[in-house]
Amino acid sequence: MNIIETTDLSHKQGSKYLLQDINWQVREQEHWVIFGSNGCGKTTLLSTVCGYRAFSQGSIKLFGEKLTKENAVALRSQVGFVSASYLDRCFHNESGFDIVLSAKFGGFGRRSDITDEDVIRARKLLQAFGIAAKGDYPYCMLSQGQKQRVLLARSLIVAPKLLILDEPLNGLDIYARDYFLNTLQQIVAETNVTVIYVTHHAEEIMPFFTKAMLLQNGKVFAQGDINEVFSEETLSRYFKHETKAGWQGDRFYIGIGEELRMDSSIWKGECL
Amino acid sequence: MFIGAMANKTYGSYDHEELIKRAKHCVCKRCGGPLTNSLIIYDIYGGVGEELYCPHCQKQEFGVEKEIYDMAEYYVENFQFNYFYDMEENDVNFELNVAKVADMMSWILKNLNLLDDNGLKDNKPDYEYYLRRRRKNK
Repeated sequence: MNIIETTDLSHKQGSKYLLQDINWQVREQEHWVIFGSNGCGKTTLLSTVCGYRAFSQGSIKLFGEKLTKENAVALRSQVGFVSASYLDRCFHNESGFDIVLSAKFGGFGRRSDITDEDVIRARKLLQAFGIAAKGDYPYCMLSQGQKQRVLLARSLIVAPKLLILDEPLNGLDIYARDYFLNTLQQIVAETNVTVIYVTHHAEEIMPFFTKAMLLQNGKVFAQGDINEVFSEETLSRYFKHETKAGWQGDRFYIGIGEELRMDSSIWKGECL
Repeated sequence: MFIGAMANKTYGSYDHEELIKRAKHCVCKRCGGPLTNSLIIYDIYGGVGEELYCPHCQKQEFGVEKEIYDMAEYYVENFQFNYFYDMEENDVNFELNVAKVADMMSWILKNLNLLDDNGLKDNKPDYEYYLRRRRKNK
């Protein structure tokens, strides 16, 4: 079964396409990395696929079911979604604890009463991510790293069928990054979850990722097997610079082969 | 984030009626103010959802019964309860403490079968009810 299926998915804002003709199929237990420059549409694509954003053309199927306004809430409750760039707009004065629980209801607030099991699970997740002491603080009073930990805990409150992680390690310290990546590896090994992972940092790409998509200006630049998409040739075309890429042990690396820097006349003020 | 009045239609919410009902008998657990059933537009690209909302605290809020809020406020104010000891003592600290006590009181009342989704009941406290729930949950 396809976990995600988009057909000619486009979204136009004014005269600009934020997404254009995205045809994408994600099968069960296929783990994808989405890669792309700032502003290329990664967050837009993933929040649209989760039913958090409208789209102007095409269709989305989630878990084999066509995504509509009517079923978005129910379908979303099976998705673990971490995206600080999207969710930071949705949460402000809510407590970390309430934010974690909100995922159970497929929205951003609590919609019905909760059980003791929900509370215990939410508290344990907050504790596991080292944020138990701040669990009742309003989101806006937390640091970037603490917010990220709340969102990671939120994504695991229900055992998700689909885990969408949009730059999940932003703002986390080295310990927390390794802790989460190893936890993710274990989740993948022991459950049937499908993971979609957005990152700018190649070293976060773990060996269990088998598929990749490169996005550029809201369009798919390349998609398919990770070794083909992340080949030096494809990445060089994407970045328009010679690019080095490959595995170093169990971590991937991508680097621009030539030295890039700002024209010094700009910061020296000589261009004025 | 933009908060709009809720039109008489659902936006992917399967419990629209429940939210309306709850907004009528519950208040915000932080400020005690009324809740609204709001259409929340999360971003300009069309993210939209229906949530219970406190316009004063500007937060999505499930709420507590008004009676519980009043008692929690009295308790925090007069008994110097402070769960957030590492936070500066100000209005936010006070409100968060009231919310914490209100949560605890709600849990106790629910487990004594004195509170459910429709509000406070006029039962007698039922400790056996709590023990049955615990046994069931084990």
